[in-house]
Amino acid sequence: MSTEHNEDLIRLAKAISDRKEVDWEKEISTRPELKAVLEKLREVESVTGILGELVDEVRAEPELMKVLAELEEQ
Amino acid sequence: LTPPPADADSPTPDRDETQSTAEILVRAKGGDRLAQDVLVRRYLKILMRQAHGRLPSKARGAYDTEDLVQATFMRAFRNLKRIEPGERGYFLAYLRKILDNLIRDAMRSAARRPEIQPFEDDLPAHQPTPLELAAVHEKLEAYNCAISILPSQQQEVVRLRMELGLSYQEIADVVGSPSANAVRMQVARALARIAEKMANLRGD
Repeated sequence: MSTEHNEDLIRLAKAISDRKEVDWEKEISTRPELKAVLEKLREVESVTGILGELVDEVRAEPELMKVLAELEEQ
Repeated sequence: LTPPPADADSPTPDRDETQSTAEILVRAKGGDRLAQDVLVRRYLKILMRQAHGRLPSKARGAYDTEDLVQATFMRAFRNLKRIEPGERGYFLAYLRKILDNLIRDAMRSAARRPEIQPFEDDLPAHQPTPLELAAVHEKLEAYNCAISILPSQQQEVVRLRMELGLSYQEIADVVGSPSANAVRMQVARALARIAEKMANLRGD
């Protein structure tokens, strides 16, 4: 991958890491030679977004210690 | 589960915060209870975030994230004598391994119990179809496969930033990076590599 292409990839990866919005259609259409890897970068954004959202969704329930104590005894 | 307060009566209160984890582990292994508190204060937030992000939906109704993390510390402290302080990040990796095992146990236990169906009013507006779930699962598999090929520190910074939501500065403190900006660059490079590897995996 050329330096210029690598710079594009890093720029977009930084945007994802900074949680900035990326216009993927535009980015992919202006760099068709990077289409495959940009589509995967978009998937990385999507997957890590899902994993991150779980952080906010999960709420505690009071039964865990009992279950863990059972597991410890097994 | 709340972090234990710093001991105001400690003769060297600053020592706890400046000592390396390896040094604190040595103290803890020697029976210093305050050293255990320091370890909890140091790693509680990270483990809480990890537990939140990793607990599967089916297990959420029956498991408490705070207790899961507490059990992680309890198990780690019970096995302190077996821990040999290694390179930087070793103890965190050790805690994460314990937590992973507990989450797996929780998943297995949840799988054995009948799932409680929520009332209709509690249902979200959109339930993903099996096809959508399969697509997400496939992407997750590809992501996990690609990230697992990266060096451990790159995996760590990506997970801490993208999955657990730590700030760049928090990550720098955990992994011993010189600056938040250096971490930002590390994360970006790692994400680019993951995307490249996923593209290559697809082509294999």
